[in-house]
Amino acid sequence: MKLELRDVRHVYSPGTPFEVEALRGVSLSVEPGEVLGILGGTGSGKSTLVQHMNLLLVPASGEVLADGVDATTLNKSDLRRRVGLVFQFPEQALFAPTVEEDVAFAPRQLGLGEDEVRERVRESLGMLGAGHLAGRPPHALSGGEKRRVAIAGMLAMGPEIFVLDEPTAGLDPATRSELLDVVRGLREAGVSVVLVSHDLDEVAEVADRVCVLERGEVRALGTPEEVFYGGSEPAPATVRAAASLKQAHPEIGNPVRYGETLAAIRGLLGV
Amino acid sequence: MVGPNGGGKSTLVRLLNGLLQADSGNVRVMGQDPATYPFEVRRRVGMLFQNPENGLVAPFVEDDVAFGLENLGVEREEMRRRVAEAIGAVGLEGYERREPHTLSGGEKQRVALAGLLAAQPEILLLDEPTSMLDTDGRTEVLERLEALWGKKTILHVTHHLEELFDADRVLVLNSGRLIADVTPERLFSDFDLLRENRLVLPPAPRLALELGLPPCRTPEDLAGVVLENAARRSNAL
Amino acid sequence: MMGASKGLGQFYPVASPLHALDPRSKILATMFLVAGLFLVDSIAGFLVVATAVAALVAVGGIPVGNFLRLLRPVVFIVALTAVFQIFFSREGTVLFRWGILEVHSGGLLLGFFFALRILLLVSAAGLLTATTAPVALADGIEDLLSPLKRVRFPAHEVAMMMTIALRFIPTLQEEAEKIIKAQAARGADFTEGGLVRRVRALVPVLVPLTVGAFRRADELAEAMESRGYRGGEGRTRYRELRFRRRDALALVVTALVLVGGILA
Repeated sequence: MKLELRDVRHVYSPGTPFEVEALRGVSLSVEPGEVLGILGGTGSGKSTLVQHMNLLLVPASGEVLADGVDATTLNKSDLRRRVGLVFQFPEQALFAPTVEEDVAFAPRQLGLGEDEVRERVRESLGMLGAGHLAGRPPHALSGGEKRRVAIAGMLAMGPEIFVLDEPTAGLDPATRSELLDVVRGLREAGVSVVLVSHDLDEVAEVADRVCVLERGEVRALGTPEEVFYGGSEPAPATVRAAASLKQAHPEIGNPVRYGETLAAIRGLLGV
Repeated sequence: MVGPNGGGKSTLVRLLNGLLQADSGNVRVMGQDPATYPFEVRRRVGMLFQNPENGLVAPFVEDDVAFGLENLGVEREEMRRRVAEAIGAVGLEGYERREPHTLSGGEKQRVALAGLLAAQPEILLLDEPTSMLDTDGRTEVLERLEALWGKKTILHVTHHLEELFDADRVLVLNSGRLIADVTPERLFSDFDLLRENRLVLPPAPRLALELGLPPCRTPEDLAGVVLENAARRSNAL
Repeated sequence: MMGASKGLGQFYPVASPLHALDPRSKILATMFLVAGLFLVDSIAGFLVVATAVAALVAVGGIPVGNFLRLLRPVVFIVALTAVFQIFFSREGTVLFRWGILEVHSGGLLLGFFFALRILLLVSAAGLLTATTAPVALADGIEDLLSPLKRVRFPAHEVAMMMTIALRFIPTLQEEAEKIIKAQAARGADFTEGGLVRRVRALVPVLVPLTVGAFRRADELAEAMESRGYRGGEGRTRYRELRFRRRDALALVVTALVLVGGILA
């Protein structure tokens, strides 16, 4: 699915003393099969933005289009099946007596047959490396394990676009890197991923395109190379290193991922 | 203090202020056993937790900062002075009557820090204080913590190794054992130590390590070292 | 932070003579008012009390709109019970008959008084919470209950529980909203079906909220202990409560209003 947001505005508590314009005309698209990174600090509107992708929030003005069709005219449950949204700290919403039951929730709500439900549960837990946790009670798991289960629960819906709001928040680096592998795996399986994060290095590692939000507006949108080497954006460590070497050594090019940066510098040093 | 999750870091920290009691062996904080004299130890040891939300007790910032002082039986005039000072020390002037749920993660953690500082502890135990914060929040909190270096004894537990560049020592804890007690430079140049304990360096020091260069803090530092090396190479050729 | 939450709901932070009163006098005045309301039984009496309450709302600097919003949730219950009184009381003369339903003049009056009492009661409580900061409220309650410490009543603990509960209400509200959205994103439907179905649909919200609340309680307890909390023993208080002349005046005025209402 191709998802488009055109000039979306969102206002919280309109007409009250608490009124806040969280989004001021945001336009972007999520292309099929890509990983789109959304970067921004506190108050940038990231979380508000992604909630428009499955219409948990409706724009005050502007449009949300799914494959060119106005998303508000589509069946809501269908849209939410196709665009899966995982909130920050999703493990807060785990509720079933066992991991399997919890992950089965979404497929069951879709009305799928028990066999299919079981298959989906098995697949999603497998994808997240959590298959061995199937019979355990969710609340007895570690933070990282709970996170995997929560994400698997969403994945079991079989979305075409998977939106993850800060999926690595609060996790140790080893688990973080495993989750990034999951993101890559999803892309390989043809699922588009929208990755919301405040961590530049993380986004630089996996994103095909990057969108930088500030105070409800899009400040930059493009490939990581375009956005980070553009000059005015705070950049990930890899880009900063390469950019500092550029003047003396223009042959370093524009590496973004860790691997390519390492290789580029190695080339420089003849190592 | 670093190490993989489940390795015992949180347990150790809680043994130090008497929240947990050792099954065997001795724990002494400034000569006292925290399990036997928790109140006396907690007068002088402050602890900052991972989740800033669940450490804030009172409906207003001011009152929360005063909470520890109330527990210690500090007299009212003195309390007011210390609360104002602590709020200033963390840069939250003007926030006195704010409610906790209106604050950002970084602000909440700073309120918690102010509450600790007001009690004037000599030792600070920091249990992954920035792990649930975003980049802005982490910077806010780390700035205030840096101001305390040299003035307090600090045990900082973290996964973000870059926070330990200026540490005097780094303890590596894994599976309930003390694996290493080294300088940060030593840690950042030891591949095996890092790998065996599931420790991950941030990109710049990691690049330095994999390129065989001395440890670097920032990407710009790394670039500097690379330039020197490249220049030496071309001179030699 | 998703959306703006109105915080502690009722406290309206302005400077007014009512806000400046000691919470203890306000609590006592509200209690007198509430007790006294049950002794008022004439239209004139209610008028006296209602006027006094309206005057207090004005003096307290609380916008009428806010205040009326406070009463909204109660209106339904009040109307329901008033209707009950009207149709099932048999006092006084019969005014209207329709099948087995009879409306007596006594019932009408009773229903009307009942409605007024509840509305004034809620208004009084609303006034209290609107003009008194939660911390002050808890301190006031603790102080008023402290004589009971002699009979081992845990006055301090009760006040502490209140403070903590008040502190966490907005936080729990936000968490509930977030969990509801998370489950909605998984296809949960809270609007369909009959009563049983809808209650079952709440399980994915109530269970995590409850589990989360217990976890919070654990973490909070750790934090409190780490900061030297050991109950009320040896504690000093950051906020000062001082009973001044105007507090005595407030109590006297309240007493007068009540007497007026009862005698009228």
